[in-house]
Amino acid sequence: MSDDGLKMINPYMISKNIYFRSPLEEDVDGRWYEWFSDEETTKMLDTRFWPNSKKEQLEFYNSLHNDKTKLVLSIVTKSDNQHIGVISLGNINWVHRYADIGIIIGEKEFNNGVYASEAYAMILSIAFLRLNLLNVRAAYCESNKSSSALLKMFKFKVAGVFKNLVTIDGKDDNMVFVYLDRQSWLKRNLQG
Amino acid sequence: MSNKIDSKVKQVMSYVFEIPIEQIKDNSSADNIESWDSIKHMNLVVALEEEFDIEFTDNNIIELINTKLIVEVIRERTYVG
Repeated sequence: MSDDGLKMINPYMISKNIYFRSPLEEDVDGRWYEWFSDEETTKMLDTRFWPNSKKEQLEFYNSLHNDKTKLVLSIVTKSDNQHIGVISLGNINWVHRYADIGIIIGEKEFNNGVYASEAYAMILSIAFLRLNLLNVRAAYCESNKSSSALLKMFKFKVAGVFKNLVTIDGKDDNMVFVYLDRQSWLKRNLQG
Repeated sequence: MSNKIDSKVKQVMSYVFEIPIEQIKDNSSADNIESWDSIKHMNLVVALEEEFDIEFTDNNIIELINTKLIVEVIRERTYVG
């Protein structure tokens, strides 16, 4: 039960304001697919060129079953079970033990940093303590101040910069590749 | 010590959110500061770490949602017993 007495649905990890659960088919019927068509939300994503559809979202949802190279989780509010976003560890490499992190807070009224921060803290804990990954990677366009600030806050380190790799709104932009290693994360989070 | 922390936290919040320090109350949060958006929230966390020369844990970070809680977390992190 959440603090408000509402029954959480199949919670995978619970935090202060939100919990993670496996995506449901009813998420596909909700606004999930619309987030990936929204111009503002997808501006800095590499999937931003074509609109998403409910059919494509359903195909993606169905592709998740039995795929152990990606962990996709719905971000849901504890107070009213609202599906507000999605977070993932993709391209999981079980030999070298790394994965790529991604997040979308689709419901814009929750886009104040508080929920994304909470979700990031949770998924990093899952990556390093449940899945025992050694590195979590991310990449962002240099002009994406939101991603830059989020990754800096969680102490991701810059691995390299690919100059002028992408074009955003007619302007060349650099792609910044960052990573967070397990040892650094453990040292910071399991300190006395 | 606590008053000093309180005062410094409000100074940092005033700077990050670009509002007069008098408008920063104990219950100030994303719910009542209009300029508290996602980027400024993250800038606030980093600015607090620099101001107090500390490094927050991920669990600390998710507590930093209003002035009162920010002061409490920093007081715990800077406490010398």
